Amino acid sequence: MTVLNTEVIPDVAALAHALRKRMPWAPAQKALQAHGLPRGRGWDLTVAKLVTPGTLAPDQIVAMQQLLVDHELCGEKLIRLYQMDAELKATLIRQLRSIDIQPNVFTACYPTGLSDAEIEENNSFPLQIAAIVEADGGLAVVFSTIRGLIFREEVDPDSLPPAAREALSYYDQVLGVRQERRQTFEVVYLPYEGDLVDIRVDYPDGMLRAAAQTAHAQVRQAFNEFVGCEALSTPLNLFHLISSMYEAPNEGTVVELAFGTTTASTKYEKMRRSLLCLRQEVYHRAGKQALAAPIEPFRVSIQWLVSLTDDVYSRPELSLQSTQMARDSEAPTLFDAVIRNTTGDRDYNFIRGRLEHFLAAITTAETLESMDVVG
Amino acid sequence: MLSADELKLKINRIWGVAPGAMLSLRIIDFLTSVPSEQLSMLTFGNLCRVVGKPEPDKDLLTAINILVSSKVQVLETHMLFIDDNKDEHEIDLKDLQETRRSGVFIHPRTGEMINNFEAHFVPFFVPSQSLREGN
Repeated sequence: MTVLNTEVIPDVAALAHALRKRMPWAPAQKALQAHGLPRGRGWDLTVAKLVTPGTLAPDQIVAMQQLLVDHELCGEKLIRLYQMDAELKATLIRQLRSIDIQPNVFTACYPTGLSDAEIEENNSFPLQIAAIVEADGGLAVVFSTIRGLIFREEVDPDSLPPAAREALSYYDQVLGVRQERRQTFEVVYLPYEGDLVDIRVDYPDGMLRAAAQTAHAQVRQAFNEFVGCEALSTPLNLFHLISSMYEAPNEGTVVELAFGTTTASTKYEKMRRSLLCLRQEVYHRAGKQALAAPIEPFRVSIQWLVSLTDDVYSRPELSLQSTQMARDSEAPTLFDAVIRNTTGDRDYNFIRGRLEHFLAAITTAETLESMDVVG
Repeated sequence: MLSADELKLKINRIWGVAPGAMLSLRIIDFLTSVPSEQLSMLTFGNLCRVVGKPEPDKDLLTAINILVSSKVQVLETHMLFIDDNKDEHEIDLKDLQETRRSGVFIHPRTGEMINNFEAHFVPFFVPSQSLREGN
C-alpha cells in the first residue's frame, strides 16, 4: 500500500505544474473553488497565486495534493468495466493491501510525477505500478508509464519566415501536428462493494482512441500478471446503454447523439449551447415523431449537474461512442466509456453509479426475458 | 415590461423610419410569432433570412444594434468561441464582460490565454427575458 506522508509538506510549485499539465481548466477551477483554494482567470494567474509564498496554509497544500491524486485516479479517462467474482475480489484486495511495491522511478515521484526534463532525458519507461492507494470506497492500483500524445494545433503564419509564409499563402489555415511525451496514470479500481472492477486509462484531448485502447490491453495484462491469475478477462459490453440512457427522459442532459433511421440516413446531432438537452430539441422531436420506426442511437454524450458544495456545481460528461457499422452488425459491442470534466471521485463515482444502474437494468430485463422463454 | 407593439412604437419614436429601424420592427414580428423554444440561438445568418437579405449589411447591423440597445433590450447578445480544433464553447456572460473589460480571453477548456481571440468569436442572439415576459 502507498500511504501519502501528510507530515511532509509537498512542493507547491511541482503540484501546481502537474495539475496545470493534466487537468482541463473547466473542472480544475470548480475543484479549486470547492476545496477553498485560490484561483485566478486561467492557469497563468491561478498558478501564480498558488505558488506565491505564504498563500497556502499547510492543510491547503495537502488538499491540493489530494486534488491531483483524485485527478490521476478519475480525470479524463477512457474506462472499461469488468465483472469479478466477489470472493476473488476480496482476496485480491486483501493481498494488494499488504504488498510493498518494488521501488521504481514512478513510486519515487508519486503523485506529482516526473518533471518534463526527466521525461525528455529517458527514452524507455516500462509500465510499472506507481502506487496502491485507498480510493473512495475501494482500492486503486495505479500504473504509470510515458506515452506519446498527438496534438493538432493552428500555426500563426506571421510566426513563420517570409519564404514559408509565401509558400503557404494559398491556405486559409495552417495546422501543425505536435507530439508530446507525457506520464500517464492508469488505474485498476477494485471497489469494496459490488462486482464491477474498472480499468481507467488517461485519455486527454488530442489522444488517439486506438492508443488508449492499446494502453487498456497493456494495463489489463500487467494487472493479471501481477496478481498471478486471469482476474480481468472480457470487459462488459456497454453498447445497449447508448439507447437505454438516451431513452431515459430524466437522465442528465444529452449534448450529443448519433443515430441511424429506417429511412436510410445517419444523423449526427449536437447541442451548441450549454444546459440544453437534445431530447427536448424541437427538430429532434419532430423528426422522431415523423418516423414510424424508432431511431437507432449508436453514439451519445450526457452531462449531469453535480453539486460539490452548496454553491459549486460541476458538469461531468459521459460519452459512449460507437459507429453506425457496429449498430448494424449482428452483435454490436462497445467496451469503452469516456468520462470527462470530472473534478474528482465524487463526479466519477456518480457517473460510474449511473453505468452500474443501467447495466443492472439490462441484466434484469435479460433475465426476465429468458424466464419467459423457459416458461 | 413592454409588449411588442409598445416596443415597436418606442423604436419608431427614437429611430424614426430609417431602414435599420424598419428592419428591427420586422425582426420583432418574427420573434413574437415563433415559439420561444425555437429561438435558442439566432445567428447573423438566421436574421438575414428573417429580413430577406443574402448577407448582413449596414441596415441589418443597425437593426441588431437597436434591438440589443439598453433602450429596448429586445435581444441579448451571446458568444461562441470556436477553437483551433473547431470545437465550440459558449462563453459565460460574466466571462464575456470580463473579457471585454480586460481585453484578455481565457480558453474555457484549457485555461490558457488566447491571442487574437476576436477572430474566434461568433456572436448569436436570443430574445431577452423582458421580451419573453412582455408577450
